[in-house]
Amino acid sequence: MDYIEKLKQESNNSDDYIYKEIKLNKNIVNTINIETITSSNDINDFILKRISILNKLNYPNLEEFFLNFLPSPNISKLKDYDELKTKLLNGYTIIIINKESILAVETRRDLTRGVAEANYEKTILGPKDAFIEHYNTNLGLIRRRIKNINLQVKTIDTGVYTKTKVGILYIKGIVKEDLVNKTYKKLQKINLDGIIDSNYLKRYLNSSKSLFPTLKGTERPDLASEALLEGKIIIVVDNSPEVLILPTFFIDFFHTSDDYYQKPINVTFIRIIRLLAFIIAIFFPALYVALTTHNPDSMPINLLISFKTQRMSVPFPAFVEAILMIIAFEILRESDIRIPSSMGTAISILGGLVLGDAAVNAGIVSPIMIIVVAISAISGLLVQAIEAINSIRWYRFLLIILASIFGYYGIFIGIIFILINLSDTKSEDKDYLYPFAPINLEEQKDGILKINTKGNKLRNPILSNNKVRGK
Amino acid sequence: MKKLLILIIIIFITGCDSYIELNDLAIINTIGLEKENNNYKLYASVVDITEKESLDIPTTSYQVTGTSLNQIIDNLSMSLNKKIYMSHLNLLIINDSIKTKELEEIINFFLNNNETREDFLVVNCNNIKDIIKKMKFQEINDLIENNSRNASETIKTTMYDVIKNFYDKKNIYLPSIILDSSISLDGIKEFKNNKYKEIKGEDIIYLNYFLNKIDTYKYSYTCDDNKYLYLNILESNTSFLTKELLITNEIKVITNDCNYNKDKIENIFNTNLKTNLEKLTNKKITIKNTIRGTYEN
Repeated sequence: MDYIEKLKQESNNSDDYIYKEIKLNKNIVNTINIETITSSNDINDFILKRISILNKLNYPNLEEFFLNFLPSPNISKLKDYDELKTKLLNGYTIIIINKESILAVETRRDLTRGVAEANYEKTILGPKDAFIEHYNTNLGLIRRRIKNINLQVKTIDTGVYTKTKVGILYIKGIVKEDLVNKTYKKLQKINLDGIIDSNYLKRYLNSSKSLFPTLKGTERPDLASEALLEGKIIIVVDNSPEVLILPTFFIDFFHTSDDYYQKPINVTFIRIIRLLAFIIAIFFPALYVALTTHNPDSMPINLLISFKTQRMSVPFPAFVEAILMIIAFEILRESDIRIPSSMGTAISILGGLVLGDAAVNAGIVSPIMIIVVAISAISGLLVQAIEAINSIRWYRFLLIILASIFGYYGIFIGIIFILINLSDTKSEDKDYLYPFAPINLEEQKDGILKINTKGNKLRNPILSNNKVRGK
Repeated sequence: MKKLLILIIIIFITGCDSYIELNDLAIINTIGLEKENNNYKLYASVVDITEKESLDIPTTSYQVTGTSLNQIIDNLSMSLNKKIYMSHLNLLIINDSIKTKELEEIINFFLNNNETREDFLVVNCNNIKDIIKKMKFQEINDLIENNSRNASETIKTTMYDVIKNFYDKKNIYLPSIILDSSISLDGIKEFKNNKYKEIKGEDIIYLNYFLNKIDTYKYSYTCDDNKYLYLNILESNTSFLTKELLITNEIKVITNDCNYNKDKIENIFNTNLKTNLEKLTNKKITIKNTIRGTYEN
């Protein structure tokens, strides 16, 4: 059975497969392409126009002619039917000469959007461009920043059906090679129908059971380049606008790319605010529940009376009230993400009026509870990654439950649990709480504090053997 | 499984016995105690947010009786149908019927009650019932605080001071309050040898010197023809040496109509202070002053 018949049979004669047969003197040239993923202009310019010239030239060796004279930048000879299928599905046009020799010419249609502004990792200072769904463009955005031969890529096609291109980027000489090898092996072991997005890889690359994310995704090429220079590796996945940074430490979620574009003293201040906001996001509702149900003695009398006055008409216990409000907030947040932006105003009005005012007037919740949940929720949004924000919500629930059972004692149990959990977490065999546990004084210069980078000459020793920057 | 079991046991053994909703608390602001026919009579001022009309925190007063303090607190809880919450107790008012035996019982009650603190004020008043009804939230605290800090005309005594002095077998000094048209201070009461003794007027200032509790006060001296020497004692410290009482004062002259020089001012002030302090102690009294201000007129 020839290749064309076999392909027709396997694809069930799919409508978007275009088969063309051209007779050139005594030779028969067949072309196959998939209409939906190939560019008809490219096929016309690179292949069909040349074939029409060939008809006049009467060139003796067709294969040689195609390999040498087709103007496509990417043309190759294929060995077997499997290669034919792969190339065809990747947007190549297949040329079969006399049902024997197979050539593939790249005629891929550009189905991606142009480089746009970062969507959720917005910064005031620094570059604005973001990764898109195109593998080569994403690689290009990084290569444009790091013009060094040591920036290398290891590629692997993953997913039985999708054959998604996954690339591991690293800077040879800075990165620890075993990190690259280990990650490559992990990627090799993945046996999935398909990889649709880089986030699919997270659960395979990350064995930690912690609620906090141990892999950070970013849509910013500047942040990815910064990570590469630190000795981390970047995983770029085709069709994904987000690359993964390995390994990721806890403190990375409190760093943003414009931390490196501002005065260190201002960065230190804002980092402390972010950390404070993280603490508020987790502990604030629990603290309120503990204060109002177990430890009113630790409040000043005027505050106690104010709380009591506000809670007088509320029929629910403080714990139920807190859980209700947090769930209401989560519903609002989720609906805000899912609905079209044109309906966002309606949600804001509903959320603001119904939860903010009407619920208080109806005596369902107390005003102070709304303040507590609002402060906690807004504080939670200061953390960088969406997964980190989501993990905060679990700790918030856990602490509220503990606070409602044990009061302050419960909060302390929760703090110990969170600290144990974080200390026990590893990201690619590296301690998650580094550089705080184990402590590294040099790295404190870019931990919570940001001390003048002129003096910060050393690389992170657990990420790189090439310890001195600039070498 | 074992870990889970241990966790569940820990949670359920420790339990949530301290769980209490704010609405179920009766927040006690002031307690008044007196003894009558072997029974304690307790007056309590309880924060009542249902009657909130002005900016001030409203309170309602209750009265219960019982043979012991625990019993009257239980009775109060029964009548209010709420848990008695005394962590924010501001004031304890006792009258002259509270003697050594009763005082010991009160001290034991508060020491054994892990909810209460020992930083609330203790005062003496022989008209507790009316005072509790008329007083506003924290009014007496502010009165005592202000007077002791700015005029040294009273002695701020907390429950901690009472406990300490009681077990050290020292005299206990309590501010005395009365109700005329409004609540005001009426000297202090000295509890000594199971008896209360009144101390009033300037004697309180000299007692404060003796107890090293002077903050600031004003001293005035009339020379003649409505001319005054008016001094502000900004700071004072009394050191108890073996045979001597060393007092250091920082004084600012506010008015010097009499046109006295520094030595004369110091002489007038020291003579007065020494004479009065000698009534309280047999020790030699040395006074060192730093005087500044308008004395060179």
